[in-house]
Amino acid sequence: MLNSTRSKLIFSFLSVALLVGTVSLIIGWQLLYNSVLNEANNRVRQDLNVARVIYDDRVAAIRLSLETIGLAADFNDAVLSRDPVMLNARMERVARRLDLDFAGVISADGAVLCRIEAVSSSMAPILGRIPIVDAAVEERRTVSGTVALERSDFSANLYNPAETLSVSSSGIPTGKDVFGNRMPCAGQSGGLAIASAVPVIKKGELIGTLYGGMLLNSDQSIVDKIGGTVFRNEVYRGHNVGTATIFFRDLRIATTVLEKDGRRAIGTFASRDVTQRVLGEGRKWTDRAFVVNDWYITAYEPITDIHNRRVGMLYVGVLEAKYRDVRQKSLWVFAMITLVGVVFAIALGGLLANRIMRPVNQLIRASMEISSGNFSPDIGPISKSDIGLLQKEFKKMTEALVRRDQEHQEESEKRLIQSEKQASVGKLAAGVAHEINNPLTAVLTFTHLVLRRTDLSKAVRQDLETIALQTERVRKIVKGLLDFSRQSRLDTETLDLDRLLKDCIHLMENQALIRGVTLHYRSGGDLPVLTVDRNQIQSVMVNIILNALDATAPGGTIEIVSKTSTTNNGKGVEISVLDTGTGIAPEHIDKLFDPFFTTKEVGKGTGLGLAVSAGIIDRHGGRISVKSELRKGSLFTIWLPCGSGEDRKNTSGYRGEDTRR
Amino acid sequence: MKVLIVDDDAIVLESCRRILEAEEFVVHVAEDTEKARTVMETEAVFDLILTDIKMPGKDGFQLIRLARETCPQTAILMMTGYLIPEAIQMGSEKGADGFIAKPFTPEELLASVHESLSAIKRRAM
Repeated sequence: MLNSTRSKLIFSFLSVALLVGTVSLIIGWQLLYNSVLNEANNRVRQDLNVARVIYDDRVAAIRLSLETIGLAADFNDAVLSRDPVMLNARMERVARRLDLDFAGVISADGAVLCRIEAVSSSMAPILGRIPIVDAAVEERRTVSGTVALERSDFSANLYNPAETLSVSSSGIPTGKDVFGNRMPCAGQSGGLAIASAVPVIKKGELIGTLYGGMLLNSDQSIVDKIGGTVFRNEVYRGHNVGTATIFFRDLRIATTVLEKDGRRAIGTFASRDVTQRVLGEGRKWTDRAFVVNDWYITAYEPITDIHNRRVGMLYVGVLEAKYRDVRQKSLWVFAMITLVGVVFAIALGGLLANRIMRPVNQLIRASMEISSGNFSPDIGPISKSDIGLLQKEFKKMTEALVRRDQEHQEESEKRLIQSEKQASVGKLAAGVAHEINNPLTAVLTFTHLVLRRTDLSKAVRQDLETIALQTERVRKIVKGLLDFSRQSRLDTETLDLDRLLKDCIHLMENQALIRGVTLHYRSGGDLPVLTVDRNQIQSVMVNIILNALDATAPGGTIEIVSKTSTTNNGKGVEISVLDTGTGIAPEHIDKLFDPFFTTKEVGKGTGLGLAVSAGIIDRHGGRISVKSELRKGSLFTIWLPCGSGEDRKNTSGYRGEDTRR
Repeated sequence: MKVLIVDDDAIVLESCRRILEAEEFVVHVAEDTEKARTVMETEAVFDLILTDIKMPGKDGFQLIRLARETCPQTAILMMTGYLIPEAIQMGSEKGADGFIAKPFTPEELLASVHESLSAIKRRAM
């Protein structure tokens, strides 16, 4: 019971701790995760903007350089004079400086005045009928931006049909699609370039067009710059935290994303969802996405060419693992906090349970002590909490119990004294009755006989009548004494026989002490309650014990034993009184319960004690019997039935065969 | 009417004898059970035996039983200084016809004697 209270308390604390822990875990984790994710998304969006600026910067650099050249007077003259040496020198210089893959000058009539290819690129030499030149010529202004180069552009090359663009040198689309649902096909091959075309105008007349550009295929300078500028090449667990990619349509042509073997993931494809949204719908994409072989928080936006067609995508992504780990770490922290809470709850619960249960346990122990007879148990210090109230009430209860016990003790002592008095008066009265009644008989007889005479004087007759009257008075006094010693009416109550026996024996202990006899009581434990006349049963016990004391020499013992006993008369209690006294002669055994039978000297016994005792036991529906051996001792056995007084109609009691012999 | 009175106290014997002789009873007395038995054996059948209980030697109950067995027509009146229910019960069992507590007046004794005599007469009928 106390364990369960304690565990209930601990369990309550534990539940609260777990509930709070779990809720804070879930809420905190969710909030944290969301904010981290938001932060990451924002960062990626910003990074994408920066990447866009870097990309645009590169375009602007080409444009500015070419415009500067186009405005130079000597350059104009060279265009007009179609001086290849001068043009070549100029263009080569700018191409080298800007790291252009292609550059050239075309006259107003479309003749190639100068052409520089793959100056710094290891790629195969390229040249296309660069669409941007046409646009610049058409619009008579500088056109710059992204240019998509189809394979056909190269094969139908106006200027150098023999030369084609090949991406395969750096790995023509052989890469696998990350989602594995698209196979590379030849039609996808092509390229992306940033280029600028500047019309050379002199005196309002278009004299030629200056162009230059760089192929983005396998040119990692832009993505590396983005990686270096935006992400500072941060590495997390062997992976680049930030990655950037330029797509030609959905094909990776320049990227910092690495494959497992450490090569750049050039030639692989973007996922269909991303392609659909960014290329198809022209919208930005910001979400987590599985890129090549890791999860990234990514942002994509379309790259449009000079004709505003969506030809590719610009991508930046931040390794999700970094944020995931932050999330993981926070999860751990929350879990640890919860664990600490749980431990604390158990400790606190245990501590509180101890504090609460200690006085309660003390009270339980005290209750046990009370039930085993100690009415003043230790209940420990009075607690200041409301347990203290219980303790105070408990204390009051124990005090009341002690009082009641004392009252009970006094009451039963009073009754015992009363019954002892009754017994001793009875004994005296019986003795007196015998000694007095005979002479009284004579006095009464002779007085009355004399009174019958007719020759008596009036004075003599009056005196004789006084004698007769006073003798009657004496008779009444003796009869009153006898009546006092005998109350034949049963005044029953339900009581604990064990208690009654203990009281009797307690009363006789002094007598036993005086005679040097050891009085010993062995209780049969859980005796059934009996409905008996307390006084009469007490007087029976007192009588039998007194007889035993009379018969037992100093140093002897009297043992009284009570036990539950079931006879053919039903369930009951058996009380036996065994002494180590003189014993009873066999010829006396039969008469032992007869009225007026005594073996004691004249004047010491009335011969009524056992007869009256037997009468009492009989009226209770019980049995009394005796066994004895001379000089060894006697055993008196009383059996009393359980149940109410109504069941006691059986009168054969002490006269029964078994009880007499 | 022949009466046997048994008591160990001579004054009781004398008292009873005086009362009963005044009423024309033929009175025999005995001081104990043994003597009573002798008298009963030598004399003709008594109409009434008046006996005490507590006497040295064999007690009155034994005498009552003996008398009841040998002389069924004899009325037996038991007298005692302490007439308790247990004694009455015991006496009835042995065969007493009446009981009287000491002390008594002559009238009381005579009333009990006549009652016992009529009781035995009723039983005989």
